[in-house]
Amino acid sequence: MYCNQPPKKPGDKKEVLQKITNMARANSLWVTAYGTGCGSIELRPLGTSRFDMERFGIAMRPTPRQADVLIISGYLATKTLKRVIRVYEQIQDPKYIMALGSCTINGGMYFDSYNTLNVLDKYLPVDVYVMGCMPRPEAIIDGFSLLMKKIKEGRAVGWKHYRENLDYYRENQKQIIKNWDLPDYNW
Amino acid sequence: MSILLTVVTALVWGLLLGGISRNVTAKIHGRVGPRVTQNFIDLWKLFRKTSSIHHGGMFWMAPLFRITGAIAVLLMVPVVVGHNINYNMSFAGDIFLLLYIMFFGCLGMALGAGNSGHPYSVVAISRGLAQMSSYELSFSIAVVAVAVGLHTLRIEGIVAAQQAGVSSWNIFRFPFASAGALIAFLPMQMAYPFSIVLAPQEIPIGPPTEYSSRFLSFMFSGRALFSVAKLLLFVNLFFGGASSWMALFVKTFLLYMYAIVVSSVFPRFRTEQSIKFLWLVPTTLALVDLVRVML
Amino acid sequence: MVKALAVFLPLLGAFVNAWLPGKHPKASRFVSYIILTAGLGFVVMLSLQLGAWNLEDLSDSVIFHSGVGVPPLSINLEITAGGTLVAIAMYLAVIFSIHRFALHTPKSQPLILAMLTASLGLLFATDIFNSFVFLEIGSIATIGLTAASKCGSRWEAAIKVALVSGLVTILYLLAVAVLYRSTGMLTLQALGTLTGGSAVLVSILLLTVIVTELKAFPLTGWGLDFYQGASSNVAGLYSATWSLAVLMWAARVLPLLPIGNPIIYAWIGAGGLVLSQLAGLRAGSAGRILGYSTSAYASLLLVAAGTLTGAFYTQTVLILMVFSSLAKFSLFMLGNPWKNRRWSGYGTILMLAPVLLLAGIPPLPVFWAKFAFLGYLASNFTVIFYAVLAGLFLEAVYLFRFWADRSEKIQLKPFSKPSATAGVFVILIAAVWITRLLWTQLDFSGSIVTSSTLRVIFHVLFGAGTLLCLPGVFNRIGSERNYWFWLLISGASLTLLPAAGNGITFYILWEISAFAAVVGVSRGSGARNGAFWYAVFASFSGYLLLAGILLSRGSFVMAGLPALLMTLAALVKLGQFGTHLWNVRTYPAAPGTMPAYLSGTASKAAVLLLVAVALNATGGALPWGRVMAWAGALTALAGAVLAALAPDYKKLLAYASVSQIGYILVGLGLASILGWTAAIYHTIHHMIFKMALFLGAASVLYRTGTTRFNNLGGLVKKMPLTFAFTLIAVISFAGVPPLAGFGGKWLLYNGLIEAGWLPILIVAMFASVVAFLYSYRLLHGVFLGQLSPKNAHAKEAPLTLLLPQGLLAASIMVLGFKPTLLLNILVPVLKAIPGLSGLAPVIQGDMVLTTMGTWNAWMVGIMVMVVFGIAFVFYWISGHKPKYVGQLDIGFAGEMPPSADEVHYSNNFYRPYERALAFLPRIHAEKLFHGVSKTFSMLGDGVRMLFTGDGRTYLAHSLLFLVLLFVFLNGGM
Repeated sequence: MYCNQPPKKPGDKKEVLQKITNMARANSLWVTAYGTGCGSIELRPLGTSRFDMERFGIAMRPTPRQADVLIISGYLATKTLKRVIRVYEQIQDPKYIMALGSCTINGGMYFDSYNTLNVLDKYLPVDVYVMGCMPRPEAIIDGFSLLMKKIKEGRAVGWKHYRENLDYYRENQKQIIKNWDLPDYNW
Repeated sequence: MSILLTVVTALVWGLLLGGISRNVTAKIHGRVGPRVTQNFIDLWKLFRKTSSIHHGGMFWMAPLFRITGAIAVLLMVPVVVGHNINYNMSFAGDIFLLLYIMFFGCLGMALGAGNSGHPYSVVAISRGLAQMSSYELSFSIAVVAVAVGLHTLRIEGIVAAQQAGVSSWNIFRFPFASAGALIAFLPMQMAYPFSIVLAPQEIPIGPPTEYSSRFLSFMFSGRALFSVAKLLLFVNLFFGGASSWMALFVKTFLLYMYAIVVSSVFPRFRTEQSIKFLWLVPTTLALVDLVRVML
Repeated sequence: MVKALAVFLPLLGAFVNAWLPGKHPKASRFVSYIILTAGLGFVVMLSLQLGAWNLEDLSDSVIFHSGVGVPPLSINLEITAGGTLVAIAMYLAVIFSIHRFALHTPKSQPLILAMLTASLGLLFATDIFNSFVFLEIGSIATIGLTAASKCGSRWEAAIKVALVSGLVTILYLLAVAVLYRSTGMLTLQALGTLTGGSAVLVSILLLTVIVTELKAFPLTGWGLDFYQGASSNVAGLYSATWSLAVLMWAARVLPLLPIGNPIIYAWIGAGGLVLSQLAGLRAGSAGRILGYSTSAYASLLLVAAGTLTGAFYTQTVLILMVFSSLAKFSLFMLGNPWKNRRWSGYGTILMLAPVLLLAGIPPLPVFWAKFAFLGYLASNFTVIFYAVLAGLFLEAVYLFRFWADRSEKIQLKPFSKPSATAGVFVILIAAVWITRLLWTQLDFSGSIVTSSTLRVIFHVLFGAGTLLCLPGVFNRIGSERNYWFWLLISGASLTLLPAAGNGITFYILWEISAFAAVVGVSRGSGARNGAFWYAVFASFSGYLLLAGILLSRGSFVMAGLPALLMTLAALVKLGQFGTHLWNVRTYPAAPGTMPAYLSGTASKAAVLLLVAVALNATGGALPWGRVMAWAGALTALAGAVLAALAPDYKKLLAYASVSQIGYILVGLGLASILGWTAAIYHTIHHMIFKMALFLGAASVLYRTGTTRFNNLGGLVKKMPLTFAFTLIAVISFAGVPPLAGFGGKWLLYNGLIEAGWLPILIVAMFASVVAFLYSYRLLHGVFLGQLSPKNAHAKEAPLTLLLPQGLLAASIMVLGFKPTLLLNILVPVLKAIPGLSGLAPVIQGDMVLTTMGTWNAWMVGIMVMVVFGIAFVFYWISGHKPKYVGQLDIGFAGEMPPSADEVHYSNNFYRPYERALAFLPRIHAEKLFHGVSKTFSMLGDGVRMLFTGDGRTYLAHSLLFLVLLFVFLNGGM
């Protein structure tokens, strides 16, 4: 009868509400329709009848204001990073980033390019990485499942991390983006 | 209270209808489709977003206008015929009042879109207004034809005149006017091919471009309520009203499916194409009945 | 002795002066002044002795006999009371202008005094040979003066006068010879004793002489060239003295000619009036324009001689001729140079008063004479009446163009002020004097609009409308001039308008308000064109109204043609059915709160006119109600479409104005209780919201300096209150419940359904939907969207403009929630009007019921407010606070928009709509109007070909005229 953890209070309103909210967030992921790299070609078949992402509640939204997820699909050029930062900051919390391909982890095929960045996590908080070059739609759906699981467990907190460590991210971003003309707080 | 019941039912039914329609569209496309309760989930997710932005006072108030407009229209239409408690506020005005109070919500939305500062929201509004002037023409001709034909402007009167069995429904008594009004129904529901206002992915999504989280959730519920209100209106005007809740659900469902089925198979018109079409086809149809009524 | 001195003193002075100028210019001027003042004194004494000042009986006279024996060895003068008044005017004109001659050409002073003598002699002569002497002196003095002036084309002018005088002399002496041979006498009365062939011959000769000397059409050519060529000083003096004298002399001689049927004069005059004024439309220089005006008055004299008799004739001719000559004197004295100079208010009146007088605007003296004269014509000589009206309208058009064009370019020379001022001063004093004498003709009992509640409604409407526009006059921008005075006059006369009891009172108040508003509009910067358009259309509608009033013999109780004319007058004033062109040019040009006044208040005068006509014609229904309703509905639609495509705030509001007034027309045309309720409800409501909108436009213009949508946007941040009031007004006129506009529409639609006019109903409903387009354009283009950095300095509107807007918005809210407050007053009144058909709406508490529909504004309003409140509370308390982001932080594909100007959508706002409408050629009203004006210009050009500029041609004209007269009269007699 001894427990190592403090007792969970069942029926705690906040707890229940949070659970329902997390379930809702997981089952209704809205993706910003922004193809940042070569992986976005694999995003298009997701909407077609063969893979049908709509059954998971995933939908493409045309503006970042109405989206939850930003998919970094492949290598990220520094030029694109500037726009992605602005788009990311225009998405409302809670927001998640899914990164496709190995270029986002360590630079992948373009690790020695002057134009791309190697470690995405330094600049934007990533929640889920999906392997492949490029990951097929099935793999992306697998990634989405992982993201949904994380959300339901309350572990997809990249956005909180970004808010709390904005200085760190900004410093990294400014280091790599030479012509920084964005405002410091974009939202 | 009947009012509260009406509003809640309409909201739930509207969202449900949206979910069902997404499934129907998906099946037409050969897909699986989302859950039937998907719209509820979307709504809750939006509502529980932890941050949102606004661009000014009018922007902030626009979803309010929209919801108020939708609820106002909803309350002005008798919901279930035969039980007076379900007539809500329809004693307070007749069909002209209804036609004009439908603009209240649109006006609010337009103002919010203007205040957002995004030029494409405004583009969408201007296209929407231009199109609205076209379909309102045929709709009002149809409504006037029906009202004058039945010698009453009050909606309860129009409904009461259709209670003598299926053959007394206005769709059979005024077939041309109903046809014109049903064509005008499509742009009202922003269904393809007349979906030039929202025009997803085109501008980018019309008036709600800058709206997010809580504002968007209110807009969604407003949209659901408004759909149900318009469906109710059409059912009362042309399909004999609903003599029970079941009949209500069935009739609105069928009418909504008509719009969904049409919109699944059409692409989108250009604005001037849709304006010209709406000026020609439904107007002529409705005029036939108007002339018939005048003579 | 006094009489002789009055006439011949100037001659004496002329002789004296002939010696002096060269060596002692100051002395000669002094002598002139002494002589003139003394002469004036004597004339005044005579006039008092003859009792001329009460204008009642102007034929009292005193005979003066000089010399020995009988004429032609002596000079007989009959000094009439009317003549003394004319003489006073002549003396004043000379006194006030002789200083200019004394300075520039001192040697012309004796000539001036000689001309004055000749004028006075001609005024009073009773003997035909004495008249000839004076004619000769006058002509020679004219030639001498023209040649002595320092103007470029003086020789051309002088030679024309000489040629014509020569011919006149020949013909005249022939006539005298025949007269003497036939009767043995030389008095003017002897003309009446002629019979047979000599009567015809003498009449023809003298008529030719008169028409030539008067410069009436078709013998105008030399007069136009003279006025153009002579310097403006000479021309002015000429018109004030010699021309006036010839006119008065002709007025005396024409009735005495043994011509059989004097209607000949009227035909020559009327036809000549129309043709010469057509030519006048194409006149280019100031001198020619005033020459055409002279010709017009000469033709009027001929018409008067042909139709009027007795004391009426004398009075009319006196007033018409004296004051028109004084007006031309003032206009000539303003000079003709072409340098730009800014006008002061003083200059405006100097230029304006004579123009208004020539155009016959009340309360200036010529108006009274014209009104009485035209009234007589309308009752007895209808065709001539129409011809005269047409000619007078054309004259008004080119006079106003003269004022609009020239008044920006006239430079006030240092010496022109006193002469012109003197002339205008005399005119204004005379206006007051004559108005006081004729005051009894006016009637303020209000018996035209038979229902006193309606009268009170309109009184309140006009008064409140003026007062609300007044505070804003203190906010002037740029080079706008002060217009509060004109606004006040216009508004005051409008407020009195419903109290008018007879036609003349109505007309006077109408014209005063219209033309005071014209002047008010012209005070804006660059507003001359707008003022001109307004003046032309205002005078057009004024003439239509005048025709209607006179054809119904001065009262308002009429049917048929007079009612139709008055209806047309109202439609033109409202800008309906193709006449909206002036709206579009005037409202944007008018300064400050003038457009609010014009659109909100002044146009309601036309509505009052329609109400009055309907009430008086058939007790409430007009026989052309359906046509009027169609006109109104189509205007509503066309105006709405044009407004949606307008690029400028005030232009949009101008078109919107025209469109909304169409609804009022539909309501009035219905002639049912519902229709009239809708019309009057909409009238009140239109005044409220249009005024609020225009005041908003004035605020925006005041704070940002522009009204083009391209340059505005995003002002909601800087002017939130203005936005709120404009929003309320916009929601209201779009007809969205729960605000006030819906009521008017609902009543109108019910009325249309009741009458069974379904096509008009459809057009009206369509127009009201299109109204949404331009109402959104208005709101977005100015207040929403992106704020341009150019306008970042804008602040909230000043209190003088904000308070009236707030009041108006509050009244919209009240009227929207509780329309029964107004309907409870209106419906019983309208039920009592016998001519209105249909059923009245039943008002039960807050609910309004008609046969087919119901409306409960209070419940609807409450419902909307409650729902809004509950939703608001729910909205507010749910969750976190949203964050305000800057205006450039929009989802712009990841980019930052470079500046606000690039992301504000305002140009070609309804381009898809334009494209959809492309099958309709551009709206036709402009084309129709241009076609009409081109036709008139062509006609005018055709007539102008007569005036070749060659003096010999003019002689040929005179001889041809003589021959034609011989042919027609000999055959006729």
